Amino acid sequence: MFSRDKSLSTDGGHPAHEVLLRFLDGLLAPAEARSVQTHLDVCWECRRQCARFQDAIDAYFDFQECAYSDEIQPPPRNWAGFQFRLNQLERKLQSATPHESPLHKLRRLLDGVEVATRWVTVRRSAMTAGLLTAAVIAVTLLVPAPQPVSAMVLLKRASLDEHAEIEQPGKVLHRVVNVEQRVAATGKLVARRRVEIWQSGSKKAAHRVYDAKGALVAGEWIHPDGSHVVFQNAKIRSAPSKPQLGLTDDAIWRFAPSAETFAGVAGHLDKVTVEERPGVYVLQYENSQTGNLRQASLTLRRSDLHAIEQTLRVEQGGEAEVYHFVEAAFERKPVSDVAANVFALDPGLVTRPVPTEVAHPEPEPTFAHGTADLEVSVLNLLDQVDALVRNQVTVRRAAPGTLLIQGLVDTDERKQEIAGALAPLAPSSTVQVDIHTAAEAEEQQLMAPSTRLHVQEVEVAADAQDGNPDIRRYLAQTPTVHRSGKQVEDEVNRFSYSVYNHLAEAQLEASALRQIVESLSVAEFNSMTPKSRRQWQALVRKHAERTQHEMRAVRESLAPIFHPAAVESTLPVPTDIREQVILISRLAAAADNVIWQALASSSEESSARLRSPQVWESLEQVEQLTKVILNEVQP
Amino acid sequence: MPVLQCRAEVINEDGTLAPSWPRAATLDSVDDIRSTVSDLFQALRGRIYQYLLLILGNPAEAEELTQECFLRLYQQLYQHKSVDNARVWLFHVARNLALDKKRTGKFIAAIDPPTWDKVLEVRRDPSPTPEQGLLQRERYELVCRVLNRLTDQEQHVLYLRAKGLSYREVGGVMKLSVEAVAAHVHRGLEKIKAKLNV
Repeated sequence: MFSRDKSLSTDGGHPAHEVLLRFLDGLLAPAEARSVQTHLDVCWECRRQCARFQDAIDAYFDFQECAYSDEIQPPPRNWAGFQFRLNQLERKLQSATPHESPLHKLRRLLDGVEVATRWVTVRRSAMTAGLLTAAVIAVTLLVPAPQPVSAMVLLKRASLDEHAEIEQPGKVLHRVVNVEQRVAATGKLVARRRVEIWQSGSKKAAHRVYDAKGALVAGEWIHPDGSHVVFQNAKIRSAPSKPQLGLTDDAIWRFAPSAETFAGVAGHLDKVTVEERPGVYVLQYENSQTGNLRQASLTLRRSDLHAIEQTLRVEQGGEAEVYHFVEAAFERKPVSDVAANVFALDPGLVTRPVPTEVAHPEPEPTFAHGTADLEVSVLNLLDQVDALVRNQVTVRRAAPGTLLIQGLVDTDERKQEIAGALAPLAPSSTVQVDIHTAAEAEEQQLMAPSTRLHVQEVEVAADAQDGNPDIRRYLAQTPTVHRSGKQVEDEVNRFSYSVYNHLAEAQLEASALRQIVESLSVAEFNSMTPKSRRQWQALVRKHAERTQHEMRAVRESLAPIFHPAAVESTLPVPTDIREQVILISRLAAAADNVIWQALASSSEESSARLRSPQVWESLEQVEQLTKVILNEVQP
Repeated sequence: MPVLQCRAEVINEDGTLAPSWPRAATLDSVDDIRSTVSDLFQALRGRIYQYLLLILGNPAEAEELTQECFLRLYQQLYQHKSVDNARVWLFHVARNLALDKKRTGKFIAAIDPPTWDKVLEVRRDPSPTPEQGLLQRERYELVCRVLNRLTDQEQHVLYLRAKGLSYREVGGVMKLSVEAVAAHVHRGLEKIKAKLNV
């Protein structure tokens, strides 16, 4: 019976194994399946073969199911970013070929034809085949009128895309930008530079600037810990955070074409105009009043809003110069294809002395006057749910008379809690609340490097399994019952974590304090109602006290180990409270950098840095400054 | 107007069927395409991810390419091109993307020791004796060794068949005839059967 059909070839009267497998998989035609079933009913051997196939299937299935399940190796980003990529693709496709089905195109065309021909009372049914054919041909040539786009929307989208590019896991961006510097009046070429940029995520980058002869003349290296090393004017300096570099000749190379950079230098986006040219958008900004930037233009590629060109006209010492940046190359490379030393300081620079210098933060924007009472009220409500510290919620004046509340929170519940705290303000059109959960921000790619909330897990470095040697020695000597090495190690970790926590709290409190103080000018404070003044003073005192308390805890924990002798700060104390809070923030950040490195490393060098008198003077001065604030700001 | 067809047994992440998903959808607007692709992403991303993970052995790359597959589906539909069977289409694109990325080497990426430990931990019987645990580990390792000796075609067809694709669908993914698929499945299982000594 089986030998009659090639597909049912037999093996000594039995169906072939392949036939049995097809039978198990339901691939046989009904008549063939009935024949095999009849055979199986009477044949133990073939039934055994079927069982063996089933066993092999089970073994394979079991292995595959467990070894390649989400449970074993889940997607590391938990599918974040898909909607964003979809948006990006949609924009790209729409700018290339607006989506419209052929039916819609034809319908739109016929509607147009109908309107155009109504005056001669030509009925649609009487349209000639020629007209219809012409219409169909014309459909394919139709290009819809472009929609006007605003500079703000373009820059926001382009900035989001830039951050998404940077944050792509496993990828390193490499960019080459050519810069020409010319005298504005004559067009005479002053200098040519080539800027090479390597970037991996938002926390690791290297910028190198070469002159026309290929010599390295400037650069900036950003390390994962947030510290920066800047090579400029033949000098190297390091800073714990982004140093301020203005639109000056020696630092202009930092302003490579970028939507974010452009938005930053232009400042007032309402003054930016957009011109649509074939394949690109050109954004223009003019300014004749403040700063040294007179004109700026940015060219964005239309298909993906990638910044490809930028021009800055800058006035320095009465002379105007034009800097023209053109992107020469842009590529994304897998991390594995990139040499590690592209992010390292160039060997020739390493040997130069690196004086440490506390960087000045970027200048803060100035806001319009007018809503001081409201702002204090908002700050107070947010502070009642601890949002100024815990969630780094910020309040700023987006436009005259309008407050913008922005922040990132962990959960939806927390978001609701903050919204509830702000409920007494509603319904107010002058307050705009823009608070996202981390998941929402991730989905919308709102977590740009500059606004990302850093929830830093305290983690002891891998090379510091023994912990800081001074702490270890100190804890090991503390008279107590005999402890094993493991117990001492646990104590070192506990101690380090405790210091980290106080340090982190001190910085968060200092940040909240700064936000509260900087919310008002003296004139605004004087113009407020007594109630608002009391609220503001209470807020300032609360966060000054907490900053002081946390910083004292740090100092008292570390003093017995690293600096037993008391130090009195001899540093000058600024008289203005705004300068005082800025100084507190800087000192806390600088102390954090040194202490963190000392606790996370087992090197003697890091310990020695922590013993330096300057560090202890800084800690002392933070406490002194908070004391001054508490004395000055009396209810 | 692009038409997108998908077998009714689109399975949700939790293993349930997705009854609301139509067998065939006529997509007339960008919104239709977008919401359909988003639905399919929810329903099928896990399967595509596992397939890519099997080939690439790298979760980050697998996740990125999974998203890429669905973005290409969106692009396909946007350009008024119909898709006969979304599941087959997605597996086919995933396979091409992965092989393009991998270019050389075996189809199945090696499982590193930590992943092995996790596999055994997750799959551990609640009350195994040490001997049973050992036997189980040996069985997994045996299957793994056998799979490494199968041809790429055999491994592909077995994997896709185990993922619930019919022979015809497997053929659609790999551009093979049903006969060829059946032959590969048979040879693959015969090799496993022989090694398991059953």
